Amino acid sequence: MLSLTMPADINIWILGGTGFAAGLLGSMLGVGGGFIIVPVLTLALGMPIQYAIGSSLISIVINACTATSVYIRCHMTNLQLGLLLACALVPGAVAGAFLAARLSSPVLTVIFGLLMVYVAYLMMPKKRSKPAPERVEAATVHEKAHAPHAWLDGRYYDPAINQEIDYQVHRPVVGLVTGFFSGVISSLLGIGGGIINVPVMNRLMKVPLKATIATSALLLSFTTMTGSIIYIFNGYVVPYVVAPLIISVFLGARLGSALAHRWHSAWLMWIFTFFLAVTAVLMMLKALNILG
Amino acid sequence: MDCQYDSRHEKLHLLNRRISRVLRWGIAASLVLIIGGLLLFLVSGAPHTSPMLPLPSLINGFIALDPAAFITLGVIFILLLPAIMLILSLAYFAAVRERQPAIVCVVLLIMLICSLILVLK
Repeated sequence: MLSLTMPADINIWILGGTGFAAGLLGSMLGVGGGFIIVPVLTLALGMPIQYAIGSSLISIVINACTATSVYIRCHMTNLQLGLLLACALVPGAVAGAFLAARLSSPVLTVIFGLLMVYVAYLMMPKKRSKPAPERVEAATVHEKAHAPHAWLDGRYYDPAINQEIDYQVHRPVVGLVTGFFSGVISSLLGIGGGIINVPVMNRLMKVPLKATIATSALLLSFTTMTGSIIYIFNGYVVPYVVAPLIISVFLGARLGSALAHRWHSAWLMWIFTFFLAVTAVLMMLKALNILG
Repeated sequence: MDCQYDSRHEKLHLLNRRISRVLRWGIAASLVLIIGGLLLFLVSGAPHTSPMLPLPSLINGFIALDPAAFITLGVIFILLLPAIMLILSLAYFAAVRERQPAIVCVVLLIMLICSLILVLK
């Protein structure tokens, strides 16, 4: 049983470094960064897990809002798609929070870990004759306007390849169904939704990786907002802890989103695949009680 | 048809820029409050484990230069940003009569309010 007493002495520099790393990686990959913050706050600073999750959730909101402010200015965020998927993710996250109180899930965690390894394999950039992720097959403007979900289509300029990217969103219904379960699983397992949203949008819905990362950041702001409020109301957020975290996450997120905008999608895909595989292994080890 | 497609994207770009501006100002305002609160913490030597202040005590805390009040207000600003983004989008899509995204915004707004009521109960 964990003690809910906060340690009297909190190292502000560890908080700052943690927040910066979380903001940098989180904004570059369209994930929250909680995978860095929660372990450091619990293991290195000895904070109770509830306080760590509460601080992490608020940091994810600032991370997501900072990244969105940069991505949306470059028109990389697909606002309509983000709002549509949030309609499934938000109730999913609430359902997951209720389920979390009733289920103990080591088996589910192992299954999910295995699933993530498979997703990491799918996300791995492969050498093939097909066009690069950004070069989605060219559909004519006329066809786009007549597509049933033409209102979800997007366009942005990619400075890394000096090209305007036009894309269609495929299978929005699949995205909604998966989005609901992604909300459930993220609440149930205490992980950021980005790790599921990015592969779903990129692989199933055929959204280019950069637009996926940007849209995932927008989604995170909605899904973590509700969770943050619950933790604040329950008294699990300490101002002295969240303040340095928020400031450093902001700095990391600014740098990360600026880098992601310029980097090639293949590099981002490799980093994401690596990050996915490491998280999957850590989750399985934790479920099997190997990490304690 | 080409022109329609382009003009739709041009209008959307306008909304994107507006949202970006609101987010940047909102983040800047909350950062000013949070940095101020953190400096007050370091200067005043207030206990590091003091909790967030409830809404009714915020004004008094602010007047009394309570560092927790500054940080609480900054965090509230941050948590309001996604909701402001949603309301801006709804207003825009309603104004340009884009029915589907406007409906999505209304549904999401209702869902956020309902889930908030549900979880706080």
